[in-house]
Amino acid sequence: MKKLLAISALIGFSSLSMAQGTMELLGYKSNENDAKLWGDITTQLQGKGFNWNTELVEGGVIKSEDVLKERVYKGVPPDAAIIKGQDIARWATLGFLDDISIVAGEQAWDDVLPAELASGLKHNGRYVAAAMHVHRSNWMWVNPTVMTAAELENPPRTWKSFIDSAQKVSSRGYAPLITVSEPWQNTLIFESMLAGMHGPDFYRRVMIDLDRRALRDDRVDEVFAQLAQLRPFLTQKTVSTRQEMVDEFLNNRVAFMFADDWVKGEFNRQEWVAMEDYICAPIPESFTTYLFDVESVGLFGTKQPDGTGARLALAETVMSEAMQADLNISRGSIPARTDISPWGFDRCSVRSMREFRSASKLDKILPSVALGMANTEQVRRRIYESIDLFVNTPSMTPKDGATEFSKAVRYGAYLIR
Amino acid sequence: MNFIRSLGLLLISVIWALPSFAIEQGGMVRAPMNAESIHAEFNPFDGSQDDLIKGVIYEPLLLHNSMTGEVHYRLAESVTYNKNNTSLTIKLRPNLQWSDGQALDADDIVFSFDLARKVPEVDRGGLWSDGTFKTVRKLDNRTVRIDFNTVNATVDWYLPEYYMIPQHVWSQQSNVLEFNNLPIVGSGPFTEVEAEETEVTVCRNNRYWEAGKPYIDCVQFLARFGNDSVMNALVADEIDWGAGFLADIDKNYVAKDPEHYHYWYPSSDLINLYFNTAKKPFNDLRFRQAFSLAMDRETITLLAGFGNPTHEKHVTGIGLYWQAYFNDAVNGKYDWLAEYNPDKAREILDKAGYKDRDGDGYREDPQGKEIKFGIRAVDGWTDWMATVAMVAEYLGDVGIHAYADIVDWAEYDSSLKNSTYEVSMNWTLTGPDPIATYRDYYHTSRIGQAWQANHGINNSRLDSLIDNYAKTTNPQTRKNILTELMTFTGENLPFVSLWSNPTWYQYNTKHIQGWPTADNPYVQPWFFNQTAKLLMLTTVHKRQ
Repeated sequence: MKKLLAISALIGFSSLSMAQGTMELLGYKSNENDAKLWGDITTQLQGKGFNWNTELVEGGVIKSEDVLKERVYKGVPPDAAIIKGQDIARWATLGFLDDISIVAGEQAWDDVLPAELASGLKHNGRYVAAAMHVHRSNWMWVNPTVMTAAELENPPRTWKSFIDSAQKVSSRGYAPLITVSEPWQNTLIFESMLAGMHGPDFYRRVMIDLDRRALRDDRVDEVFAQLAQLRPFLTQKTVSTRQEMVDEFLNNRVAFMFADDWVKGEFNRQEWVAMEDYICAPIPESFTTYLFDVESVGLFGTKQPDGTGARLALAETVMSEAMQADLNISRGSIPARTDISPWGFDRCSVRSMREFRSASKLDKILPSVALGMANTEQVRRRIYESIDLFVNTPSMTPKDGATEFSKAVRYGAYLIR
Repeated sequence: MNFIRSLGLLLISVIWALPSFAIEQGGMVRAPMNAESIHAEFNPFDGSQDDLIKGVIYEPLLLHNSMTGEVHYRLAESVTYNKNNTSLTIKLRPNLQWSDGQALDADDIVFSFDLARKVPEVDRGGLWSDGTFKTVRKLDNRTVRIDFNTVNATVDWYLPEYYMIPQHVWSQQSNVLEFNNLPIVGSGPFTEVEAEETEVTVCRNNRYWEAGKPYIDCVQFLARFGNDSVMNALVADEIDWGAGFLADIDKNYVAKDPEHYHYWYPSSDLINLYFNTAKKPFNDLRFRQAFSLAMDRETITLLAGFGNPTHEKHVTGIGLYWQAYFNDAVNGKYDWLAEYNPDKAREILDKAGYKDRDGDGYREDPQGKEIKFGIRAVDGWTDWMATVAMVAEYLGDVGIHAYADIVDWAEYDSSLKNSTYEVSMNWTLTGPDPIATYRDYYHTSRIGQAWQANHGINNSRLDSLIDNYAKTTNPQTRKNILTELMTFTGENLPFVSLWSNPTWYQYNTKHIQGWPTADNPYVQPWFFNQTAKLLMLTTVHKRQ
């Protein structure tokens, strides 16, 4: 009760004192849906007496990270920004992020967030970021119209059956797989293969701990060998934007997409019904594994130190029960809070919620490198580049792929040091 | 001090002397039937519209109230066993009448039991088919004696299942299973029927035995198909008494009118997935064990049941409703089978020879044949539909190819009773004692009668255990029998438990009062149960 009074007083006071000030949030825009979601949040905040503007960078989180860094170096940081993974700890260590534990206490974040997620939002035991969405990276999206045309009954569950299905789809004149030439695409497939083929412990050693012995293990070669088998499909139909990718799928020209659940925002906009107009299934062989990414908001108190109330109000709004449901229903992701009821979520989101909970029990929730949840940005970029190089260079053997990958990881890590 | 004490006594005397609050008659309770339409067909024996007949049109001899432990005598004034528990004497209340004014007497009772002897579908309590009943005869106009073939101290538990019907109407029928039972001649609180395609209204029986009852004039049953449709009707104040699963009930129902919209969910029956062990691969215990281990019951319950049921941690046949009878030693031996352990499931399947031989990610049986089966649930029962879809996905995780098999009620009902299902979700009988639950699981006399008895694992040893339970009143002997039945269940898994159901019960106090609540738990408010229906419909009254 004391805390409640304290935060209400703080927000109330700042509301009065900052009535004329405008705060700025830096985010990114994958599609038009993002602009609408942020519009909803800022409208709510305006109702509480806080003016927030949003600057949404086109092209995803990597682009917005670049803009954030540039602005901080220039001494003009935003008041809040979308940050994720290890970047949360880095910005906190550098002293940029507000301690928002007061809001976390009032909304009992420790009780409603899974421990794996909560620890990523904390620095020295204090909350420094608010979680918005949980995305799953190891999704395969299946077009049932094309499946029917190719006389395929079930989504493929193994890489062998994926290749068999892809060949059958090709023989009927459809593209089996569409990919986008964005940095995360091939890594998303690679990491799902790695986790599915060799389990969560090996995944952690290779992708998170960057363990040298694990990087040299034959099992990494095996993953590249599997990836090599997919090369014809990975390079057959590659487009340059996400919009083009989804449009091809929506127009029933391709059978499969490997992407995280941002695509559902597009499906929702087209009023496509989950498990009828499109099917969601884990990427082959990655059943019971949940590769995740949490999008969170960090509050940068350095620009307007007296804007604490407005920043806390943003954190409180983002983590409110209503916003956790609304944001994620329209976006296609799932709430970070586990106390949000599945009411209103479609069957793919409920499946995602289900697998998130079950994978958590099996210790198979793994941070996605493709979506930026693990490693520093430098390491991630090197990983993306090395996997793209392998996919696009047919002359590279799996052994070459593993060697290049290992080098890239070491080089990325060295740069940081 | 003396003055104060005297004043107190005076006040108590005055209050005691005040006339009791007279409840004004009138009003109507509106309740849903989960169906697209209702037929003007009131045969009590075909089971299709039990919910508007049982506890409404016909009065049983007596009722057992599991919530309070009371026995409520209804048509019977008393039911007594002889000293050896080899016979039972039913004494009817005086001056009972059918709704058409004819006397309701011992001839009707003998006729009703005799019909149950001749027609298996009428033997609702199963006491003829299991060989308990020997003869039923009239001693005088108000007295009937039933003699047993064996000692049995539990016959009265099953008496409420038998419909007492008027001899002067039913003796005229050549086919009692096809008689539409119109015009209705009944003994229950409501017998005057008006039927339309989507609603049936049943109004007061002016010759009901209990003076002044019922308080309400009528009960209206409205056809509302599926949980979502029922929820909409509840929210729109079209229904006073809801009895199904409501997704996110606080948000979707209570919040719409917190003053009048309420729910109370005391624990109820166990919900299981029943295997048809006559079919492969369900004939293999190892397959059934792996099936059980593949499911994350806690997550299924949270997401498909919105956290209202309680996920099951035991596989020995009874749930929270009977938790006072839990046997920790037996449960402890088999609880590992209720855990979410897909690795163990895979290990069991691998060892038993269920392997993916063609590389499609699904296992074939040890002979190399494809495995693919449906898990059955009823269309419109949204929590069950979501559950079987989730179970199929969990099975997929360990390489078992299953799918949600959603069918209409008629198909569901007949497939369970005729053993034509593969795997089916179903409830359990609660009854007055846990033995009633096991009786419907296992007793051979219940095959084809009870939904739960047709999994294919029945034998004479189980029959004699259940029969012996009825013959004794010794608590330790009964405990030993239950222990053996629990052990058998954990050892053999003819079904696997998912969750303990709450009693789905929503009520609207805008027009009707007197509902059972957590503070006034006079009955388990289970719409589909005769005890609840009769006690509630003769207790609730219009808002005064």
